[in-house]
Amino acid sequence: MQTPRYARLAEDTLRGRLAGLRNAVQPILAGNYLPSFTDHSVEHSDRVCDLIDQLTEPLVHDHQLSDREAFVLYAAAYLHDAGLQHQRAGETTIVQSVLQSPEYVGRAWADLDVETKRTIVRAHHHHISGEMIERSVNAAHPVLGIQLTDDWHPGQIRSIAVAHNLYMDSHNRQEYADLTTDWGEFRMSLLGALLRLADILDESRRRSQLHLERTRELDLEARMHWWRHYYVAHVKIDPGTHQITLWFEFPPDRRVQYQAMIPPLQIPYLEEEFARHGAVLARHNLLWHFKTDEVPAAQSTSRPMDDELEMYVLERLARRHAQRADQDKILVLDHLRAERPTIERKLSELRVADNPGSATEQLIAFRNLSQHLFLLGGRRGAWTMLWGEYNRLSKSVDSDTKFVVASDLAKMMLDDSASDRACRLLHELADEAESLQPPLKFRFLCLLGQAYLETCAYPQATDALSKAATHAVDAQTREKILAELDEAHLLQGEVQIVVGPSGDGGHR
Amino acid sequence: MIKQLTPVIRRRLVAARIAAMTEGADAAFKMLAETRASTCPLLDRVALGLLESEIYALDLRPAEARAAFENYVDPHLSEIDRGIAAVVADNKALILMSTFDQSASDEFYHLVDARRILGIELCDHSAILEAALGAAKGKHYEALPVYWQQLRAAYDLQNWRAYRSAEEDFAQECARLGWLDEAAYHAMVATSNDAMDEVTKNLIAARSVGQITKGLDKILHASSLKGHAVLVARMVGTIADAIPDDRLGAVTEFLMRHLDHVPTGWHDTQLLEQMWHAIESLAPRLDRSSTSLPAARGLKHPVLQKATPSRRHVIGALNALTAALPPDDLRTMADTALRLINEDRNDIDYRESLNLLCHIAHCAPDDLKSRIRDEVFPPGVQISDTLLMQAGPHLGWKPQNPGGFAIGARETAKAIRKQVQRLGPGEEPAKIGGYGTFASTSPQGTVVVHVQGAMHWVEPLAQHRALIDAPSIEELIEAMLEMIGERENLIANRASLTSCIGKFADRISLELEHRVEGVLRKLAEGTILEPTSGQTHADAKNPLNPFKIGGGDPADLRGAALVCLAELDHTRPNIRSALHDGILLGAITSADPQIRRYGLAAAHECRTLTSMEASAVALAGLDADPGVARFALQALSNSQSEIPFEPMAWHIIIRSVEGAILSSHVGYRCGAANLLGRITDFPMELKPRIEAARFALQHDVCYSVREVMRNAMEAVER
Repeated sequence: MQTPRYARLAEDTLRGRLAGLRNAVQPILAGNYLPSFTDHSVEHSDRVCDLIDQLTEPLVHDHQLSDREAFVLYAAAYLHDAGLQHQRAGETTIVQSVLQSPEYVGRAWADLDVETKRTIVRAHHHHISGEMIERSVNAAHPVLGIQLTDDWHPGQIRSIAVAHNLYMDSHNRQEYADLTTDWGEFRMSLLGALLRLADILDESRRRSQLHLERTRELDLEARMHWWRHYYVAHVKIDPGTHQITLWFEFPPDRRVQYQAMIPPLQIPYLEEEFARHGAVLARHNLLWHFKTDEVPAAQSTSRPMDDELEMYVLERLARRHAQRADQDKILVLDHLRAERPTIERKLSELRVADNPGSATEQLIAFRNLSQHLFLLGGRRGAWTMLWGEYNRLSKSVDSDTKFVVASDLAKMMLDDSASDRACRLLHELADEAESLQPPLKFRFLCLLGQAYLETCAYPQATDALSKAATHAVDAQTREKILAELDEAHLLQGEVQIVVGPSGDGGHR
Repeated sequence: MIKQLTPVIRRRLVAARIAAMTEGADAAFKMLAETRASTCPLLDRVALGLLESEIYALDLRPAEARAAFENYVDPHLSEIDRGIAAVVADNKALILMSTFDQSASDEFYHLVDARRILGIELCDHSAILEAALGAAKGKHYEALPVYWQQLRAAYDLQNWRAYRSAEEDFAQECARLGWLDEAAYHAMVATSNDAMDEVTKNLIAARSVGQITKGLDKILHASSLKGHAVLVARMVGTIADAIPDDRLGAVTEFLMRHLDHVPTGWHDTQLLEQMWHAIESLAPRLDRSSTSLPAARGLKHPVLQKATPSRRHVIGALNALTAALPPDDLRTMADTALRLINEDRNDIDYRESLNLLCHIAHCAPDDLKSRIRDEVFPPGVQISDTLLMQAGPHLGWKPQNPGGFAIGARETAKAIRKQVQRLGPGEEPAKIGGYGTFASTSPQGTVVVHVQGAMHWVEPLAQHRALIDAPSIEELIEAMLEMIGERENLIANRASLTSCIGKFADRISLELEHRVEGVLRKLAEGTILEPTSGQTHADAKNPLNPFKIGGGDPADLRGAALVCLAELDHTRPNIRSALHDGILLGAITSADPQIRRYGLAAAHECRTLTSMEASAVALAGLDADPGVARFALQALSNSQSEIPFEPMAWHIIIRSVEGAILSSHVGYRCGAANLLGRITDFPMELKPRIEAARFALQHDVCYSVREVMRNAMEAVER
């Protein structure tokens, strides 16, 4: 691969340093200490540099990266994965602290088997990279093979390199924030985001040389990563439209199946990562949209996964979706809980004896609050609350308000499978409803018919719905009510009553 | 799904479904085709295709149902809402299951998983459980709306299984509420045998002409689809006795519409079976003019030409129709029946075919009877078929070699003694005929028990017992007693042998009778030891036992012993038998209703009863179990002319009859009618009550009760 352009770096001195750094780390990155990983060689770093160039292209002049920012970022691109290849990581402070944890207590690095060592290195490689950078600053025998001097801004390079693998969850959110806090001319938050985004975007088949997979002992998890990279034929970044297109290439005979499998494996990772940096990117007009496309089947030469791997991928996806569904439920519950104090406060305000509002205003306010709670998922709480207030206030309000609120209340009851309550509520108002004006009367009759229907009061239901049909405002609405009626007759077994829609040869 | 359709399509779906139910599938298809011709949204088109497929399925045409599904529904499933697709796709799995398609269960369970993932349930299980609990507590005001809501929800889903299940629940709830006409309709739509059986049971129990009429009117009108017709025929077959006279024409007309149906597979054999079963049940109600037509259809039915298991239902119906057939029709019937036992013979229905032939011979003029006999028993041909031997006396056949029966009795005695064999190492079980063997091995050796071993010979021997000499009879009975007393023999074998001894009662010498009594007495008293190996009857009845292998109920053995002793008692009324030493009384007053029934059946056989026994029988007419009380009334009707009842006993008897009149148990009412039709010498003060009871029974909802009453009174008048 050709040396990257380093498009954001104009100063020759810095370009020269970068070339020296690249030469120095190339043999380290070629170490292949973790054979289960896809390509983490210097070519990966080169591609990350290219991706940084593309991602930063939309930055307008004043906001474009300065030479020093660009240098720090490119340097971090070459150093962020250096820790992955540190085969004597046991000598680093970070690994020694890991060995103090209860899991490894009493065991020396040399006593650990290779797999355990690799696991530790994989988990802490960003910190190991950071330590390698630190140990190369002004060092006579730099571990990186090149001495970093103060004018390299090694602290910033190290911060960006370490930050690239922090999950930004509750565990290390603060660490990430500390490492990427802007200062002086260094927009560390932007630099941190750019390295992570470029790193994650280099997930195409260029990184997954499948012939190597055949010669290595890889577990299914590792193989899955190799293959998901393999199916990404190309990542196209269009700065003009702020669009990132992932071109997938699937085996023609499994296209449909893989369309449902592979993009869901890739896209959510990308979207989540871009979302994490949404605020920073927005600040710099660097918001991106994702699009997927597919290499035409006629041109595809890609191979299918074996059955075992295919099954593993599907299981992984299923697990992930199940977790997400659970999280969504919890989110809804969290929203409801978060809103409860506010609702309770408003209820208390409305219920105080010296409430200045009229009974009508109060009842409407309770209705509004109840509907709000209902929409948040607090269905049962919503209508029971409103029912109590309705019983208390309905005698003091005007007829229209009473019917409006009663109808809204009945609707909530019906939607919450409490048709018996709705029926009781509406039945008591049925006589009074005769004098209502058409729109209100129509709605009332529809709800009354529905409540009767739900409670198996067939004659009353057909009577109410028939009346509602005569008050329908348009033919479509009328037809809908008649459809309900026809279905009720059918389900009751009163088949001789059904006449069918008019003028279409319906059953007579 | 339904709520997402355009209203006009919703209404057309209803109209087409009703057209299918009332006018037939073609009327519905015409409507659907007209609707499909006009452009409508995708989901509407899917719904139209779905209904077409469902109508085919309900008309028992699964291949067409599948084709309709694949033409109109399958291609669009990927384009509609995923949830709706997962719900309606289940309907195809149902079609595939009805044809035993290999992919059916994979498809079914895949869709179960799909719906689980999508969080879709076909019904609200917790609501249904609440409703069931409410119904069990009598809170039908809670249960009914829930079942109704489930029905509406299931219709909305357009999932056939959910819809039928909801219809079944609703039918049963209607039945519990006594809305039997509605219950019948919903059971039919549910295509549920269980629900329909529940409804018919309630209809018979209700004894209401109005309810039965309403129920019939409701479902006869809407049962054009074959799948629904099966259920209606099932109901007709069960309530045939109670169908009001003015509805017989409509019911017969309904049955006639489907009588020619020829099954094309497992899925539609029920239609043939239920239709002909209904005809069989209805036959006693049909007059001569109404009988010829179904009989002619039966005789021409293509299934009679093929050895199919289901043709026995047609044969059974023909048998039932025979009694009312004119002589010319009997000749045609005889030709067919002869073919059925000769060139078209099928082992599955051979017994029924012979039975039909005997019935024809019984009703036929002499020349036809002779012809039948000559064809079944060609002169000079040795008969070895045990069923033919049994039929012989009914057809006027006389064995060519009467002495052969004595040899047969001795051979049978040897074979019967092998019902239980204790085998040494390497020894093979004997081949004595029967339904297989049970074997148990212990350190002492292997015990093999032949299920009903050699019993096929006993019936013809009993039929021709007059031709067997006394020593051979004795040898046979001794062999039977040996196996009755053999503890390791199956209880079912011992009960069968005991019943068979009674059939030889008039050939058993006094000395042999003592030996029989010696063996049966303990059994009749209830002292029965079950085999030491295998499951006991209690084990086999244990609801927690998943592998029930019963060898027979000791109560049946005790009952068989009681009846056998009564049959022996019947032949020698002047000699007081052991039965009257408290054994019969003990059975009639047993805590076990099954034993009481056997005791009363035995009492029915006895020519005389002690006064204690007679009083116990009279009291049993008030038994809480109508099945027991029925036997008591039968025993009374048999013996009342010879037993001088005390005035108090007469009061008990009339109270029993009044109890029977109010009972839902048809047999109990028949027993009352039989008794009431025969009694003449009753205390005059009871006359008003007896007249009222006679009037009630003469106007009973069930034809059989009215007929028993009429026949009994006619017999008395004669």
